[in-house]
Amino acid sequence: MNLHHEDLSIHVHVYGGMSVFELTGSLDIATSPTVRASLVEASERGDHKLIVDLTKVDFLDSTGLGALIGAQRRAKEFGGDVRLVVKEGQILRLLRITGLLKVLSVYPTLDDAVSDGVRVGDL
Amino acid sequence: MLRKTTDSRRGNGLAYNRREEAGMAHPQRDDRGTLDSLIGAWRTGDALRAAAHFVVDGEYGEAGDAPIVGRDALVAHFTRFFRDGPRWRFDVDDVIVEGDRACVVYRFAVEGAGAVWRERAGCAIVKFDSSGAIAAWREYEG
Repeated sequence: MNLHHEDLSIHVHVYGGMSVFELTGSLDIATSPTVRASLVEASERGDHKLIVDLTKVDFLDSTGLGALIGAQRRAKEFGGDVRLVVKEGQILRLLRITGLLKVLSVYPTLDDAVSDGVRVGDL
Repeated sequence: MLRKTTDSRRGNGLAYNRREEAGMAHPQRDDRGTLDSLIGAWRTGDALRAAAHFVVDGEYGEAGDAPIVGRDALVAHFTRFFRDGPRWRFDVDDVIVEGDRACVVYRFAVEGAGAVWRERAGCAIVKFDSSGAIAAWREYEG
């Protein structure tokens, strides 16, 4: 499944048995409602173990963080988890500065996220 | 209801939270409840009660500003805002608690000239101490 917004695209596919939301572009006040809706839709389908791949996201603001946190909150209510894939760079720095690495599950690679392997905070 | 105290060991005359006052261990922390209570205190304009949710040297940082440190300073800050500030709304969209951290996803709106409301969205990252009191509240917007 693919969703396109002017500044963001969402490619949803299954990898290692988990739904992967691969985002490309900016996750900000303009695009976060689209991402939020997409993640809520997955939750409503009963899909509570999700991966959000942010390696191709070049900008993340507080509304984008809010969308990710909301998804994690919904998933946890159903015993699930939202795993983020984040590479070194601006977004990871933001997660470190805000302390969100201790709140969210963040992995350096998609394979690590699927296998619940080494988290970024563990490195 | 929290009470004032003049116990000098408590430094600024403000009570800690109820669990601390009772000298109890903290077998059942309720961090979400603490956040709800703090936000409730803000909404009722109770600066003293709001500040009492923080540890004595707790930090409160609004987006883009240097953090305010210490409960006395927090009481003063909240009191000024409640007394002199504009009308405001603080709506919470999501709260997630994980370990000693929480994240509050919020929208904060203030009434400006011409009764026009301006709203900002943000996240507050909250750190709790071992007693469940708030050690730091730091907002991130933008």
